[in-house]
Amino acid sequence: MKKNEENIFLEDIEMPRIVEEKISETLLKIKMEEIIVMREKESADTKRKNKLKTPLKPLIAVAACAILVVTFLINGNAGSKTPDVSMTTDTDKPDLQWEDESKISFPDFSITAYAKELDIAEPSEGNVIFVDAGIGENGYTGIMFSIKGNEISNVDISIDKGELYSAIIDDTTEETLHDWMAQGMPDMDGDPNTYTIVETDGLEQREEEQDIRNIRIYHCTKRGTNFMEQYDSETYYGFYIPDHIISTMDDETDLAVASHNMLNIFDGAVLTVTVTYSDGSSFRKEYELSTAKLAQDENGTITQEEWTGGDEGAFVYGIVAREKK
Amino acid sequence: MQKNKTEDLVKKAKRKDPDAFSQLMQLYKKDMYRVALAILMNDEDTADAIQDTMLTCWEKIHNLRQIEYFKTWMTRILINKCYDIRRKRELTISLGEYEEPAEEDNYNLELKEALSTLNDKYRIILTLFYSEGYHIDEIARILKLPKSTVQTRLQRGRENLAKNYYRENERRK
Repeated sequence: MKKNEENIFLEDIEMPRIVEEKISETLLKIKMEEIIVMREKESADTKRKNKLKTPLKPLIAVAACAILVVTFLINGNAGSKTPDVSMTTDTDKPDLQWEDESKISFPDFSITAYAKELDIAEPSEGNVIFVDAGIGENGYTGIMFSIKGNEISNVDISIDKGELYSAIIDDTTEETLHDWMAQGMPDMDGDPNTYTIVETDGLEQREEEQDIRNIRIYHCTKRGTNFMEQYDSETYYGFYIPDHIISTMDDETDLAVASHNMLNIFDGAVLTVTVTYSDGSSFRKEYELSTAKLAQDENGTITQEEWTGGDEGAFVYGIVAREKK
Repeated sequence: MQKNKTEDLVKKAKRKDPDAFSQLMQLYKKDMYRVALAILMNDEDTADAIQDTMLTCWEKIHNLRQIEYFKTWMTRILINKCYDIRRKRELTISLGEYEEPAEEDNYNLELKEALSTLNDKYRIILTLFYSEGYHIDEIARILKLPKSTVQTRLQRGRENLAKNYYRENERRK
């Protein structure tokens, strides 16, 4: 080619839409993965500072199997094995992948446990099982519940050992997540009292299935030991393991034992839930918490029975709560 | 100045800075497109090749020893990805599962027309030489070809392009 001849190879090109889209998608994917890696690294650093050899996330992951069992002793019948409550497993949700909730109905208000897809036996004798759906990270155990009732205007929740957090669950798609990231991820701005857990399906799976990826975001806020707020039926409340508990773990602690030890902060704690109704009246319940090993049956279903087979076996570590009268 | 900025981005990307890597990719996306197009000749496959290349570069960038060779290294990866995709496509077509070209494959038609007049062994060399500004010895390293082969193909590619594209265009005018 002559030097002055038009050179097609030097002309500017227009990037095709399909190429631009793939580039954006890939860069976003890389960024998301890096955020997860960084978060894990930060978590590991915190743990190192607390002289923990074992990373906290696995600890919490083990704790994810721990359950909170609430035994409601009502009508002044302390120690009753037949409390006047009922519990059902909600199987009518359209998206069972995400929702598997256990409910107790009260004449006044009810507590709904967040269980997700874990297999839990139907409750008996008034025991209610709250299950960490495997989302626990850092001190956020993933053991959550919500409060349901009519005409509730405010809720006041307190605990005398350990701490609490609240969580707003946002079921969304990858596209919305992009928008959230584009806004600078407003609740990941370094505020030590907020934390966001992003639950996604695997990236490898995403590559194979070209569907829009469903994402569940948990916007968590540390609430300390007591707080009151306007009632929102969509808000979940969870048990938060305070930082000072983590720092008490020694380097040699077994992973499972460490997770049990962390949950033990709630052993002997009193959880108080007070709801105020729109007419100004209020109703209060106090629950005494204690930790326990609960057996799983041959199918892996978590049962109400206490495990007596020692430290190894088919059990999950839980917390039993009884209403105080 | 630009070189220093680019090298700075590569350094940051090696330290797993996704924003720096993103800037690098934005900087080189047109280069990647031209090279991939020269091999694959359609935008859809080109997009796939660029995507695969970006992921591999991000995954392996910590292995890059000399940051000044980032673009060469990335181009080598891209070419390998393109050949992988082309092999798979040829296999698919040979199995009778022909796919229609994407409807929106109508960008840069002039460039595609020019490339289509060339045998693919000339297309990639002309693209690397003219669009990407690589020297003959660099192209030889990237394509793992003898320098003399690159020189010959470059010369023949020029002649073919002049004859089949430029002169044909002149004749139409």
